[in-house]
Amino acid sequence: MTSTLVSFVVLFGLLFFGVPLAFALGLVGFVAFALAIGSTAASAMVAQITWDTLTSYSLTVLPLFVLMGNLVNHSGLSRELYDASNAFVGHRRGGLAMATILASGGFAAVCGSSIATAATISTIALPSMRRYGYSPALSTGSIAAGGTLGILIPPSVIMVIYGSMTETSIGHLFIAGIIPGILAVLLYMAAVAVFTAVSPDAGPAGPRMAWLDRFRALRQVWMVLALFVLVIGGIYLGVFTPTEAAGIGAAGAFAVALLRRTLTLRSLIRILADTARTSAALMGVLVGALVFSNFVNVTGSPELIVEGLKSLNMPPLAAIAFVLLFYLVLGCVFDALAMILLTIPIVFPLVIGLGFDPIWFGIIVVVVVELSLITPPIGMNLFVIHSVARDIPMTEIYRGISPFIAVDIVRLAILVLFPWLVLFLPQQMG
Amino acid sequence: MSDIDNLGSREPEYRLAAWSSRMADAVLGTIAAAILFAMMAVTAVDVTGRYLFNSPLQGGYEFTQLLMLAVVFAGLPTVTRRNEHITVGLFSNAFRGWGKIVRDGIIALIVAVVSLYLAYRLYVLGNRFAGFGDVTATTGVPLAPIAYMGAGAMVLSALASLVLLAEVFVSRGEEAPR
Repeated sequence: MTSTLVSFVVLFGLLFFGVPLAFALGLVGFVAFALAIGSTAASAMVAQITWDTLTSYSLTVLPLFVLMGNLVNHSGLSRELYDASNAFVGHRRGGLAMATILASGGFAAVCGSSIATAATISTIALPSMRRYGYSPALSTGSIAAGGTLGILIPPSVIMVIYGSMTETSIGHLFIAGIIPGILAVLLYMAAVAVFTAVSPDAGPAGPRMAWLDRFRALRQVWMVLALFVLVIGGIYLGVFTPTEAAGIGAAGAFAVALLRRTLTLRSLIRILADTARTSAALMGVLVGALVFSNFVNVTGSPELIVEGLKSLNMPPLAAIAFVLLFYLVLGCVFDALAMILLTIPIVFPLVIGLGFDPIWFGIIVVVVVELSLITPPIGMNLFVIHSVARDIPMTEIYRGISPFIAVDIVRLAILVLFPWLVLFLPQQMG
Repeated sequence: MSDIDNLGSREPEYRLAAWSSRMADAVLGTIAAAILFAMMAVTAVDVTGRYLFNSPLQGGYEFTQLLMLAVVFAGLPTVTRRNEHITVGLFSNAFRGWGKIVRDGIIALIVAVVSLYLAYRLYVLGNRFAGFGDVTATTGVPLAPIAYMGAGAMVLSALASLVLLAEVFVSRGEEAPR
């Protein structure tokens, strides 16, 4: 137990000093394992984990889904998603902000990263909301919040990482994200409605579009919908494994990009190389995390904590509330990936020991991670927006995000109290 | 490429070093791109073959696995070279002047040492594969050369980190207060 604590302290020190996650996790995990068990075992473990992780069939979804998102983004479909959403809700008060949420949800259905979703949508939605005189607070808040949908609506990089660290089915996690994802979109739209009801000047209504034009706008985005239905539908029906679905999704996005003539050989190589680098960085982090979590496991600390908690005779729901509170506080200073990698080795055995469902908890973790992306002072999505719109002060961004944080906490409570919202769809998969 | 061209306008030997590390970055990036494209193609052909024509690609999933390994190994040195490893980034602006130089130098050294050690472990793993004559189950691809390639990639990653280290001292030393 002491060695676990010391290793966490050293790890935090290295991370705050600026050592990359992959190397800090791997180094601390390796040294601590060598001190606890022996250097021969530690060195064999490092090579084995590296090899097993990088050749893991279930992880092959990672580069393929990242590629799919990058290809769809490059083919300009994100702008059309926004235009189509706007055609349907733009005439309402706060309509452009609602359209931002809808377009983020649509983009999230082909992209597994929140930061990529926020970055993509912000370049399209922000200029448009500015033109119509939307308040900076509402514009940035809706983009930052909408961006978090990237990891909840499948595919999701965070779910892949959670799944591989806890040996939970990635396909089931993806499907479990659908209903909470729709719930999130609805609650975010409600937040926009409340925001503009309180201060109507923040989001003036745009012109109403005729139904014919609406369907014309929708015609442009059928490809995104088709990709999502093919990929996620295929996983749901059990026709594809997640890897097969990711391969088909990436190839489909490639075909879309070819059809739309947006691809040159040069840009294709750039997209592929970018994806390869993103994937390599992610896989490196995962190897480091698995080395570290291997050390945590051999110390037996998770069991000790579970025993300790059980002896307190705390009701499971109170224990979960405690865990979530811990995550919300942690989320204020850590970003998504680091939070998952550092906590899962300890928290997962604890939560499962209390009798909770691993798939349900996976979705709950994604939701708290989403919150960590938008909670001040350290929220990655807030920084992404700030880097796109330098002239909007951070305080304004913090103000705009607060109603979305409020509905996120409501959503978290709903999913904790009604687990079947998460588990219903994956249970149908059998 | 301008983002990694910090050594550009200096003495000839620096220019040569900058040029070769830029070339290595471009070559490895293109190799990684080609492997990733192959990975996508193999998966897609495997699946369409299985469901449409009832004839899957023999050992398709094994190729997918090995190709992912190759994508990561080809990608890692360029990730290191471009300083794109994922960090927590909480206090990244807390260090200035010489403090920042020392910090960046220490980090580059840690990355280099860890990469080199992993290269050595992969080399040992490769020797074990070679000793047992390990091959993949369906397609019979020998594993040892792949582990050796991984070791080579980690050596390149260590080198890339050393180039970063050199950069820290060569180009940022001038900006620091004296």
